[in-house]
Amino acid sequence: MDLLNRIIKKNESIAYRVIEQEALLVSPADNLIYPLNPVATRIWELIDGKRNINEINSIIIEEFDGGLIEIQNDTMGFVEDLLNKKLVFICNE
Amino acid sequence: MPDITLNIAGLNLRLDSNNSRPIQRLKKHYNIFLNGNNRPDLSVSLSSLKHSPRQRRGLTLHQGSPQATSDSLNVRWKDETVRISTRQFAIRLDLSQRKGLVQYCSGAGWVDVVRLLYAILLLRKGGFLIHASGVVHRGRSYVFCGPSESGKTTIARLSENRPVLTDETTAIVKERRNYYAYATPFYGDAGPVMANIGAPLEAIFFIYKATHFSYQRLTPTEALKTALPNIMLNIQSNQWTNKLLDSLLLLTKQIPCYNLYFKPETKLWSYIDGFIKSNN
Repeated sequence: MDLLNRIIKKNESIAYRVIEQEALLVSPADNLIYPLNPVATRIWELIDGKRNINEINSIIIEEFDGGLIEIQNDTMGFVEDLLNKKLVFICNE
Repeated sequence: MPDITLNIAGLNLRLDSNNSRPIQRLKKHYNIFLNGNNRPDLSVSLSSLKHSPRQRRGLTLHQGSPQATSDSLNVRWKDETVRISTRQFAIRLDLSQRKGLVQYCSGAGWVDVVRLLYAILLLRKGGFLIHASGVVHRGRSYVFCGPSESGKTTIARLSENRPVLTDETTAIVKERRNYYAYATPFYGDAGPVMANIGAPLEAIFFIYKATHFSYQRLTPTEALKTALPNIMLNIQSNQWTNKLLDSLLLLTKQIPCYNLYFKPETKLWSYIDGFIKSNN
């Protein structure tokens, strides 16, 4: 299945707080800290184990300025980053 | 049974053991932090581990404990139950009952054990141990935070007649509405402190050695991000990491935090006085 149609969920072991529209993610297992900018924070908030990446992408396009392709590429890049760092998982995997 | 009660940052930790040796050692090391009478916030029994020769060679800590392959901490903290293991010791705490057990083998670092127990007690109370030196100046505490070689001991040595809380690890705790910084027995090259004292927290500085004096006021978020790696606990629990984030955010909203670039000169204090005054 295309990654865009996959549903993703947060890794439940990740601690995070959103402060002034910027999230700070902490991975308690290795004490790594990941500060997110406002767009990344919004994507993080939208990752709920129900929406697929395509749906998240549509909301980001609606809420933030920028070219459609550019936003889609940025969102995908960020989600891939989250997956690589095991901060999120693809559901049913 | 031999026992002692320590008081650090206003929190009482009682340690007992059927073996007098570790208690004697702790009494000597934590002399100025002893406090005999108050009700303990946590009572911990120390018990030496009986190892098979194979275990003594360091293959496992003891049967049933999480296996640690190095001296790195393995901390499991769920709700009020904490389990920590290293090659030298294993800690089990039931915080709701204010009780715990430390099992240790020879060579266990008591400073590490006591530091961990206090890191947990403080976090539960909305405070923490931070990798920082602390100095009391005009009745207020100033905390200087940074990694090794950043200048914590240098600043402690520049304190002149001002009381030093520590040159390595400061305890910060919220009492009612105010934050206090306290002395700890966890010290660096400057050696142990002379008094168990605390003072209301005036400011936190993230320090950088430089050839000039300058500063930069940090937003609460910036301060939180900078402080977090300097907090002394490897908590493998998102529940308690979130509590730490909440506590830090409250602190950084209330207490001014700065990046401080400094030269190792006693002029530091007049420089700090100047910009604290101009920022108030």
